[in-house]
Amino acid sequence: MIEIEIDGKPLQAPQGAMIIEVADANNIRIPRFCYHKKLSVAANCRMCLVEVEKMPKTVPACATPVTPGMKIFTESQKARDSQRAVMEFLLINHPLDCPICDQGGECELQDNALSYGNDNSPYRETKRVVKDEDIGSLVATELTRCIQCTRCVRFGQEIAGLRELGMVQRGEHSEIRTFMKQALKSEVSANVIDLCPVGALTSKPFRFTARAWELNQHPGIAAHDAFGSHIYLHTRRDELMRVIPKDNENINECWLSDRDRFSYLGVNSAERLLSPMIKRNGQWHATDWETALLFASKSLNQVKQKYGNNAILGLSSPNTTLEEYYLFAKLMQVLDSQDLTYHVRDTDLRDAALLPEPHFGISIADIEEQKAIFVLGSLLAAELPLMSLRMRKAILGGACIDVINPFNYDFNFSLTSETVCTPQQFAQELASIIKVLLKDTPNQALADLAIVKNAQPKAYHEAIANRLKQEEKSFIYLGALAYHAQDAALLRMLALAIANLTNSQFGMYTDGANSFGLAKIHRALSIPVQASTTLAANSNHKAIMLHQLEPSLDCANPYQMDKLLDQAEMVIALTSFKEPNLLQHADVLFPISTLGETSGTLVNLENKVQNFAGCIPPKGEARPAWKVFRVLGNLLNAEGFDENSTHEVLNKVFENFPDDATLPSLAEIAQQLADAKFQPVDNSNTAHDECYRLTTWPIYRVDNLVRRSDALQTSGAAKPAAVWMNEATMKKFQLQEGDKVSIQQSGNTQLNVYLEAGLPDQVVWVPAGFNETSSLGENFGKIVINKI
Amino acid sequence: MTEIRNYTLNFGPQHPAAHGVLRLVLELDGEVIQRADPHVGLLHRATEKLAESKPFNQSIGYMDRLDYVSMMCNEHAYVMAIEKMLGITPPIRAQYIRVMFDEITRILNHLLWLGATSLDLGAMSMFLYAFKEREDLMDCYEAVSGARMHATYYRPGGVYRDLPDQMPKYEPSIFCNEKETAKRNANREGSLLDFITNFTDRFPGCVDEYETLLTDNRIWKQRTVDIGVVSPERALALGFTGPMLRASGVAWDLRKKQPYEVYDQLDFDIPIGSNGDCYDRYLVRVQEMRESNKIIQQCVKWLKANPGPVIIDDRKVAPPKRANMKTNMEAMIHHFKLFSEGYCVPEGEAYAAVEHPKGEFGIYLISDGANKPYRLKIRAAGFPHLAALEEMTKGHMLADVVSVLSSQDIVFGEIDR
Amino acid sequence: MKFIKKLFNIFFLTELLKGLKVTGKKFFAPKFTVQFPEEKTPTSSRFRGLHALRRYPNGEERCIACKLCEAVCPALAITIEAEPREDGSRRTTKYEIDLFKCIYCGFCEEACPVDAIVETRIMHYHFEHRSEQIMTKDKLLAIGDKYEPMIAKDKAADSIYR
Repeated sequence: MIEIEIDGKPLQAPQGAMIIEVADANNIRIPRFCYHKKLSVAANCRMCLVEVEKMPKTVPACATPVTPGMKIFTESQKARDSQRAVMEFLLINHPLDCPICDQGGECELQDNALSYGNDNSPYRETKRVVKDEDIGSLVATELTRCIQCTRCVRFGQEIAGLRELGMVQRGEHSEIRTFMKQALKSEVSANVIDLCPVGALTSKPFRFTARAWELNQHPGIAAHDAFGSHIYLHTRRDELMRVIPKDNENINECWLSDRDRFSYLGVNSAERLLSPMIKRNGQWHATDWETALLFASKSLNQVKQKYGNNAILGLSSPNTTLEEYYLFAKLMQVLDSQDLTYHVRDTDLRDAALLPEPHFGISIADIEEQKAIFVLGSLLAAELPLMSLRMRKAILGGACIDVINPFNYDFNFSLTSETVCTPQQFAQELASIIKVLLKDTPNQALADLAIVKNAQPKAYHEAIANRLKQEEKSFIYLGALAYHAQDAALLRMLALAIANLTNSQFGMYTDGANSFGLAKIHRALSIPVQASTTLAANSNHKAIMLHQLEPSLDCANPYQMDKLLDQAEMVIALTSFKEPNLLQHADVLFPISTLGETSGTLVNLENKVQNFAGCIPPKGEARPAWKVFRVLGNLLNAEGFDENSTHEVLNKVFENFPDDATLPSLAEIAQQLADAKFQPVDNSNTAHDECYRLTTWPIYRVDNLVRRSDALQTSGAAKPAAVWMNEATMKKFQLQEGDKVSIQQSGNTQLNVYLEAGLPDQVVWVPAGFNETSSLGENFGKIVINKI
Repeated sequence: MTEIRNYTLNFGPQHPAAHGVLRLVLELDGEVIQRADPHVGLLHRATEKLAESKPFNQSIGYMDRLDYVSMMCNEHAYVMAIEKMLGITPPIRAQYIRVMFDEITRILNHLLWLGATSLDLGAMSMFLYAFKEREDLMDCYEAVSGARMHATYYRPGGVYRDLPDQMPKYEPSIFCNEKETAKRNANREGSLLDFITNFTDRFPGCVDEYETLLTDNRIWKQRTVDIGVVSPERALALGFTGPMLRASGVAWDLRKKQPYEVYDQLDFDIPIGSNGDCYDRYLVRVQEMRESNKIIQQCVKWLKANPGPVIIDDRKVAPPKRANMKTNMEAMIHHFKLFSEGYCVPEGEAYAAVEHPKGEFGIYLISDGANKPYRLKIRAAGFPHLAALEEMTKGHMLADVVSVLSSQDIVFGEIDR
Repeated sequence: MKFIKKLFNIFFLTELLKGLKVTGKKFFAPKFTVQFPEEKTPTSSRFRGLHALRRYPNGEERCIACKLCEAVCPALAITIEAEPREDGSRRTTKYEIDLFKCIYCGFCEEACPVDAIVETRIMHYHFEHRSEQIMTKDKLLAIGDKYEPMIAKDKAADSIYR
């Protein structure tokens, strides 16, 4: 720490800190445009000029480190004059756009011009004009307004790891451009909207709709991934206008993924269900709540009377809040059914006894501290976009990252090693690493496992094992492909064994925003943990309740789900949207509230319990889902169900809320793995005319709200419904990019072929979450492709 | 025995002599007032609270609507309070314009008072004569601001626009041919200042007429002399200000005692009464109109000779000229920010008071450094006067309540706020 | 002498007669009544009456939905909704003034950077039904179109002072 003085105020400052950092820490305001606490110092706007004693000229505060005894004046005549001069230069070429500029009212240029600039300028000459560029459906450009602060350029280079925007030309002609004339492809591209201090980059969906001063700001929690990013919902006259990030250093810093930022567009979708509906003789009729609720409760009661226990199946979206799921679970208990799950996409839960809830061993902020990271089966930026940023930071900090993936996925950072294999081989890969590790730390129980015995470690297995072992801070991450894989439980057990052997931390991807919390409700209420596919295959459910779920798009095996719904006598859906498949199968539709319309609690992957409040009234006749469950409980004359707010429900949830589950010991893992049911699912013999199907939910197809955000669907990071395969596979089936093929896997569909060079031979990638692929079967497995 | 009780009478809130929405609960012993209990609040519009929710400038228009017969004086106190906190002084020409319109407002107010009071006390034609002269003053308001009453003309740092060089004119019609129209327009040929000169030349004659009608009139005197007498000591103790205080013989006038704007450079006198009864209050107000006329004449003379800016040249407080705003980026930003966000007033507090036609009208402002007041308190001139109603009417006859009440010059816009 | 004078005044009603002389004079003086509605009192070009939305000479509406008028309106009488028009320009889809809320302070006109919203000298208007006091964009534009020559003249006359 050194002593300095700013504006006569003696301050302590860390050695090497820049003046602007010290000033910010002490609430001394220095104007700036190019400086941003999360970005590198560019010192090109010159707005932060301050006077320093004994220096002949004013110096940029963002690029001048403090020295002992330094005396800084931010408001002296000299500093003010410099700032005023800079401001005048910046405004020379700025168009008189304030009235038509979305930034007006929240513009740093305006604020600084007002506080630090002149109120008149002698400049009368023609202003410079910069041609605009279309950079996709999320970010609107007005490049004439750009002041060349290069924050957006540095964001791409330093944070997102995708150089999408750059500065071309020099001096007065310098312009911000995309190099390739293309839409922004990054999953976090819209952060440049917040970064841009002027109105050059603004939100396209929000364009011209509202002014900053009209908006009311409500804190909230993003509900699309397990990060639980903090957001602000901006509302105007009871309408959700936009979402922006809320600073939280421990979770999302000051960033937000495009998915969390633009999902709000789905709230006002034309498909929104606005009143309860009942199907009579195949025809849908809008009705009132009372009729619909009475109808539903009566039908449920009948099914319960007629078919007894476990005749009713409850399926919920993993984005559900604790309160809603708790009441759902209570309702299922009233209906004498144990068959409730939110595991709609993952299929293998054999390890539920040992690992009753998901695990993420480190805090989000700790990710960037890791020195060795091992990733299995992950399309990182498409699963947890902000985790990708954190990992990137770790890599920039010198960490090694090894990846085993089903194809060469383009991470936003360079990898130490990358291995491509099909998900069937994942277990074998992990076993190989274990085998390497067992050399140093012998463990007979593990060594005796067939899978370990058969393993043939290669050099990269040894390298991965050594890195995990040597580095004190090492982390193993199982991505979505490992989580959805057919032997996901096996992978988890093996990964846990590796973590145990190497003293690493273990973390896993989970679906939705609240898998961590919902698992605890299962534990608290002793509801068996089962996957939807297992439930659908083993039983004969006569009534099905769907909560915020579109089975054909959200479930692991849409074909099977289709059959299940077909045979059910009664399908009750609580949903915010009218979806064709739902309309076909359901008998009652309850409109329920969605983002911003209800309060609730989510648990993120750090097991952090986060509340949020509703800020707009639900659209139409929609009501919060917890109220629907509560009234259904009342109508079934059940005890309880008398809560008047989510807060009261939450208190009940917390009465019996389990602590975080402990991880199994190595011995337990070994014992479990030795169990016969823990053998790998053998699917390796792909016949000559067959392919192996790989599935992910593309980033903007993960839930019903995101799917209805038009801007996201047309953005650069969105994927179309198609079949991806490598060149060799294409050749084999005599296909070319753009060809239409028919696909058979349980059901049939027709899709276009796209090239993805990183895939192994005879492995095709067919995304889920599309109507086009909703007739297909399992996520992973054999699939037949025929050229049309 | 039969119980003997005082008779309780509700005077208002719909009484024509209640000067607005006053509900006065009178307790009578026969026809003699035992107790007078004024109920306020029927015209409460939460102006103080409203001002706390808006940028400073946006409340100027609401100040007009406090005492809605002396609009610009209310604005004056408000903008002065803001100016005090911002530490700015309006250009001298703006100060003269403000003083001139303050005095025009005083005449407007006193004319209305005179008309209404004499109507209350039975002199019908006074009302018509007073209102005829008021028309011309309203035309001045309209010419300068665009509104005949709620001007929204004063701004922190000056006034919105300079005085117009032309007055609107009558058009010939089927009732009025070219020649007659020209006669009608005789005083409208020149600028606003010429129009005002014409008025000030004419006005002392008008006041003479009013005095001829009232001052010596025995009915008038019977209704006012020795009614509602307030001693100077009591007047001070009751917090009287303005004509009410001066009629009791205390020479207190903010324009003299703590001169604001350019009052210290103008020549005028402070009329005071000797008995503190309704008649003295009448005399003081009539004399004040003559003094105001004098002040206006001096202002017109100065304004004709000294053109110049009417609002400060500080874009952080006052918006730029429109032509400049449309061509200059700096001006555009300042225009945009001023109209969307306003300006921030430094933390602190200020009290600014003007000699309002009814007394001391003050604005007490607290700012927390934001762009809207943290607290705004209005010191309404009429409030202490109304509070003294019981003391002034006790022991008088019921009919004298009307005299006393009208002599107080009550307007509920400012009392209820 | 003073006493005699006073008695004289009391018995001969001198002050009342003097007053009657004044009223009598006024009674026979030429009338200054303005015969409304055939005649109208003169109105200043600054008059703040009914609002209008103006167009450019080429027919394009001036308003660009900057919402400064909405922001500055002390009475919150203005409601604007906007979105990009097909040609990409910023335009209002809804521009409403509630004349019951409006206090005719003229701030909207002061704030408008493109002289779109103006207060005209029109003051003789009335409503016959509920909700007619809401001046929609169409109504405001219609007023603007109808009175454009007058509005242009008034605004030009006042432009040197603003």
